[in-house]
Amino acid sequence: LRSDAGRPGSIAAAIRRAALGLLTVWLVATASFALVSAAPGDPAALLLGDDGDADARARAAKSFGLDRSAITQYGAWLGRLARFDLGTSISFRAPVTAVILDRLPMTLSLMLPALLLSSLLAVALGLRAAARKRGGRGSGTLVMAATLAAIPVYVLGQLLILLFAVDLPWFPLHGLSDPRGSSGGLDGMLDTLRHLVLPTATLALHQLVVLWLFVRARGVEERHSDYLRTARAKGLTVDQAYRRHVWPNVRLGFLHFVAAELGSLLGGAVLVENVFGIAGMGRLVVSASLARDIPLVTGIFVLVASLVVAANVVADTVSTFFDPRLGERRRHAV
Amino acid sequence: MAARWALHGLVVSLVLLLPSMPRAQGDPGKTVVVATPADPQHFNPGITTASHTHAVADSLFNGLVALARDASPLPDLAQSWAIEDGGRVYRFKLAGNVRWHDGTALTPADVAFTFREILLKYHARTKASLAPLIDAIETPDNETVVFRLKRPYPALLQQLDVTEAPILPKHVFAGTDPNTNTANLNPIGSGPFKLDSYRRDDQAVLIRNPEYFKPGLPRIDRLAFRVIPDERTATLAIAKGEIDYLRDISGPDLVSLRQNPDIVLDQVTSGPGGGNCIMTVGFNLERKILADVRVRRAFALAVDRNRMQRDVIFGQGRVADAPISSGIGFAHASGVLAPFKRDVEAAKKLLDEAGMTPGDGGVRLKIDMVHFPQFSRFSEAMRQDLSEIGVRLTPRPLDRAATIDTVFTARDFDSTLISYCNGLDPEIGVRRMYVSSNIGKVPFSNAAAYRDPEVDRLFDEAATLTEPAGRGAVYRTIQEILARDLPYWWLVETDFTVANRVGLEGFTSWRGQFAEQARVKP
Repeated sequence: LRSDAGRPGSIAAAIRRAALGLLTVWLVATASFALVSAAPGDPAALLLGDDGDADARARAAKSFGLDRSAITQYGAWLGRLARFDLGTSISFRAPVTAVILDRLPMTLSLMLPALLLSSLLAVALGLRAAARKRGGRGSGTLVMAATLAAIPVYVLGQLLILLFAVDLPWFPLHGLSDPRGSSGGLDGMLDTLRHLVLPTATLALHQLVVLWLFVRARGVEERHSDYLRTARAKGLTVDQAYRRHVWPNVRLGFLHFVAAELGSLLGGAVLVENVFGIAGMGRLVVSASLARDIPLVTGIFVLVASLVVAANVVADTVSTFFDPRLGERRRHAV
Repeated sequence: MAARWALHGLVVSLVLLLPSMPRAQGDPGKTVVVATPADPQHFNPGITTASHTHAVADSLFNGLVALARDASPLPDLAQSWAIEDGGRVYRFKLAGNVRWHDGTALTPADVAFTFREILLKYHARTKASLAPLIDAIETPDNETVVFRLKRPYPALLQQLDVTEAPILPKHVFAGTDPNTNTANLNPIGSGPFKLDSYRRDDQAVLIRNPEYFKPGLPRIDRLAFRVIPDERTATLAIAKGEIDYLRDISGPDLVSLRQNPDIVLDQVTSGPGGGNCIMTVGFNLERKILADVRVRRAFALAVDRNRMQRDVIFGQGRVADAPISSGIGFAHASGVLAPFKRDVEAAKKLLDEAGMTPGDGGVRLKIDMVHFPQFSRFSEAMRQDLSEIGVRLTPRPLDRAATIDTVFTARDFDSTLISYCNGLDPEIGVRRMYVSSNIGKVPFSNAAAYRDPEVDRLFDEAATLTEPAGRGAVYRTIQEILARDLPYWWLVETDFTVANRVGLEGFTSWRGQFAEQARVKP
């Protein structure tokens, strides 16, 4: 048996990890429920619009179960959550799951290309920078990177808009598609891609700096290692030696770092969506909070917390394949 | 679903057949793109007065009447009407050929149902003004609706357009909870456009209703609403041609649009959220520091409203010269506020008399001001003006939900800044600000907590009168009392500036249903 599944210790670890994950999700969900409930503002009154009326408010509250106490609402909500039912959005008057699933693809189609692009560039440029580093003085690139890292992502987005959508009218300002074009087919797809260029570039550029600095720093740490000297003695160029011998040592740490950065990437995506008017999860969080839409806000937090927890579990699992030492232990254990 | 795929297939083949077809900037006659600052959230204009819902949904429905620019009634679902029994009975004859978007005929029963079961229960503004008034709604035959009122009411017709009283289909809403009916997202209207697609926070696309009962209308094929919350972005988008029509333009953006030869501007006093709005400071009279009328007078004398009209709203409106809007001509007591010319020395003297003498750093008095974030330019202008008389004003911008809660529920504020829309009759949007029965947890009610038995009595009296001249006299008396007591300070009457790209015309921008007659310039 090569699998760990048969070992009691490992099962216990897996159960503990799953339980911890569930606990995290529950804590996040409860905290978000409490925060939105405690925030000043009445979701039922907001539904009435620009005027108020006590009867109409009471009717709206009853329709969405807001006439019950916060504790009762929380209990009902937990009960539904156990059945994977996130309830009904008050402001959009549609099931929370449907509202979120509508929006998730938009955020992912912003995040994933940005993540891929920034990771590939960070590794390529980071290793190169580590290989080229001379002496102790800071390089110009480092200063540039630090500057770029200091620009908030929404300012960066607005800069790109001014440059490439207003001064040079190459890309659209806002949104995901031009309603004058066709929404389906190749044409619609190209239109959406055109709309995604600037937001993806903003997010990737912002993320690139952090990842690049990480790869570079880890690469520099390996400068005086024996294996690198051996590789150089074999006749490899600096770049070759870094690619073939330093990267495998940096790889695992990089993977964990990227997984840990997912949360901040999501945070960046939220801001980028609001700058570029992309109807993804980021816009949704903002509109749900402004409407005090308790089921929707908590639904989003449950989902995001689950995704981040899942990403970390995946990173843990995948790392056993990348880390030769973990692999050793597994072989000995059999 | 199959139809949609077939449509996609058609579109793909068209694209393949016509590779040189111009894109993106396509023919504006086919699609008019409109910017809207917030997502509509649903498409039922009968259960909310929210402007973001009405901005889109009013194009899907109709009222009994439409309103001209000067608020005079024009036929809509009602092709004619007669006023009988000295204004107690309104008899409407419906257009005979109106069909709902699902093909069902629109009948008087729909009208009676909509008023009884939807508008008079859920539409806060219409409920407030009409519920105490309507005695019975009768449907004697297949084309007539009769409104019997408890007393003569001259302003009824102005409250029957699509924004105040959209007619909903009885066969869709009967026996359901209108708040949760799924037709709110899949609307069946009678209006010039039908809902084609909706992506939340992104866009809602309406298409021409080919069965519309008015011949030749609408004249455009698609009406696409794009959600653009940021005013600056929306202005850039219309300048660039990404959108064709934009309302609620803020002052600084107006300057650049006025100089743009591709843009046509129009100034109107109403829209999908109501009309005749006055930007108003509400003093919390329950706070000791503001209970003295001399302090409120000093505030009024210190604020430079002319500068506000020029530099904050960039000429989109007028300095308020009475508590009731000049848009309600018969009730507007012109000149009642004329004595309040800006006078810093007089203001200081009033504060001295009230015992508010300068303390540390010349500060006599500290007050906060709770308001929506988009009103920050107003509070900032007042902060500067008031610092000249030693009053330190601290603006507290809060989001919409928190502002409403802080002002009307928690009542944790010294002063607030609210855009009170008066509507077309004082009964709609004026009474609610002043009568003592309307102090409480209801949004946009009597924020000042002003109580004056004489004012309460006069509002009741005005509501029983029918002759505009007689009503006007009562409202003038009310406004004289208000100018004496200053529970509020009326800053500026705000208009809305609407922009569209040249090449388009026919927008009725003062109405919620603004694109029924829009077209490409021939």
